[in-house]
Amino acid sequence: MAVSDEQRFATWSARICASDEAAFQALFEATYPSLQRYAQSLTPSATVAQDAVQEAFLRIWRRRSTLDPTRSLRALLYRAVRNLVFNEERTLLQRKKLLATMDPPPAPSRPDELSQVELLETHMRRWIRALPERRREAFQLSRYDGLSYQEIAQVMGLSVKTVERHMQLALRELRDRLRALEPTLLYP
Amino acid sequence: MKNVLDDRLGTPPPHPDVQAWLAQLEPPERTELERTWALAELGRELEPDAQNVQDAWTALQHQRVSEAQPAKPTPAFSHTRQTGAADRVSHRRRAGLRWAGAVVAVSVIGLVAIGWLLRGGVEHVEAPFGETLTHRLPDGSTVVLNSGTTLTYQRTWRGNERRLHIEGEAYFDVQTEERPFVVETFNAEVTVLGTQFNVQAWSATPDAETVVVLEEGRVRLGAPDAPEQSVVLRPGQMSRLGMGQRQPTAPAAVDVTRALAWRSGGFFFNNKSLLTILAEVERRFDVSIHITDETIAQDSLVLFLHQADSPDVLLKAIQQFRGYRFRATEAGYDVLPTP
Repeated sequence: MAVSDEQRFATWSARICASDEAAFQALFEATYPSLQRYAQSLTPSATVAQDAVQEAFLRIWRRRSTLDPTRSLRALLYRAVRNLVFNEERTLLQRKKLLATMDPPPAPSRPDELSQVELLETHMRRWIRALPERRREAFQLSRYDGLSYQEIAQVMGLSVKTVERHMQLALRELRDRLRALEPTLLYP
Repeated sequence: MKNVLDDRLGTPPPHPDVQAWLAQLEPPERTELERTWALAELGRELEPDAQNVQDAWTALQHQRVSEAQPAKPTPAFSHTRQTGAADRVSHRRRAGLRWAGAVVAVSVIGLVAIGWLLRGGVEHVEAPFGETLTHRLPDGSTVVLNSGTTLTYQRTWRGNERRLHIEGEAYFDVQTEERPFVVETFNAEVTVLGTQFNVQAWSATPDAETVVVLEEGRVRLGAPDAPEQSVVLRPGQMSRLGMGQRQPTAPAAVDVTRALAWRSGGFFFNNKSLLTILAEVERRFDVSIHITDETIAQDSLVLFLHQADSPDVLLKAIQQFRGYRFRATEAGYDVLPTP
């Protein structure tokens, strides 16, 4: 699957470079849900996440003539989303600091419809969210977005070695939590 | 126990980079981590649905058009416009859950109907669907029957033991006496020495087994024809005897609150198939649930609710996490695959 993914992105890259709008739309439809989820994992604000994804696609289109099919278009997109979210977060943070004295108390965490329901899904989501920030990001990019270590390294500005380390630690930590919750899940 | 989660979660395989690392590990850890990888699928955050992707594409088109007109500079972040889109997202999610409101709640306010059938001194007690039933035995012990459970025993216990039979699930609070107290199920015997414990034994389910959870005192569990292989449980322990087996599992510590969730109107399923889960919902609320698809029936999950006053809470949770839809019917619900 990973191989054909790479081919797909390389083809899109070449076609978008030649101003092919259909290819741009295909890229958008194939990657928007994952990018949106990724952006949302970096910021609590739905608005910031959505705007970052939009802007990332706009940038790709604006700079289409400079696209290089031999370089990962996917990594480029994820990296753009990441930078845009972090830039906006920084701006928001500065603004927030200015307004800190006037800030209303933080909204109570959203009422959890499932407070009475404990499911493995809920646990798993909570555990992944609780991973150290960069470890979680690397893990999600690999697990849910299917990026290679090389691509994750490009997106996050890390060495491949560090990405690998993050992955191993993340997987082992989740394993330990599963063991504690329900050992039989690991030994069916 | 067959684990259907495997089939469903096995795809996609880890990226070759991850596989390469896993391949280097020794078997026990490798298996665990592969399984962790598969189960991590459950932690995937929600993605926008297809309609939202279309909305976002349209918004992007607008922005590209406005960019083409040089007089209008494009702000990198245009919050007001996007807030509308964000609202639509959450609105749609709420709408997805609204099905429950349309459902005619099947409320059963039936009286406690006890099936008293006196056949030659045999006492036959049945908790109807939609009810649990507390029954007092001649020796002063009490039995609480879960919905759809039947209890049978000789009116006058002969000999020097108190013997009864259950089909279903029941919680016992037994008076201490010299005479042993014996609960028979379709495949097991639980011998009691003054105590509080739970027996679950639905013989008609695909993974039929007798499960005993002990809250207080001591009990022994074994197959009737293999008493020498029986095990003795201590408080807080659980043991199970599968159909056709002679050796119960070694008693293991269990969270009694969870294991006895039905006593407070709740549910606990540890990796059970939807077939098993929904059968319990049918009995508990006296509704009829029709599963339209074999894969759905075999799908399994871990589920714990302290209390559920109606099937809605439970079905809603299943819908949210598995994506199945529940359609109200005259007698209950149809379960439909993800659209």
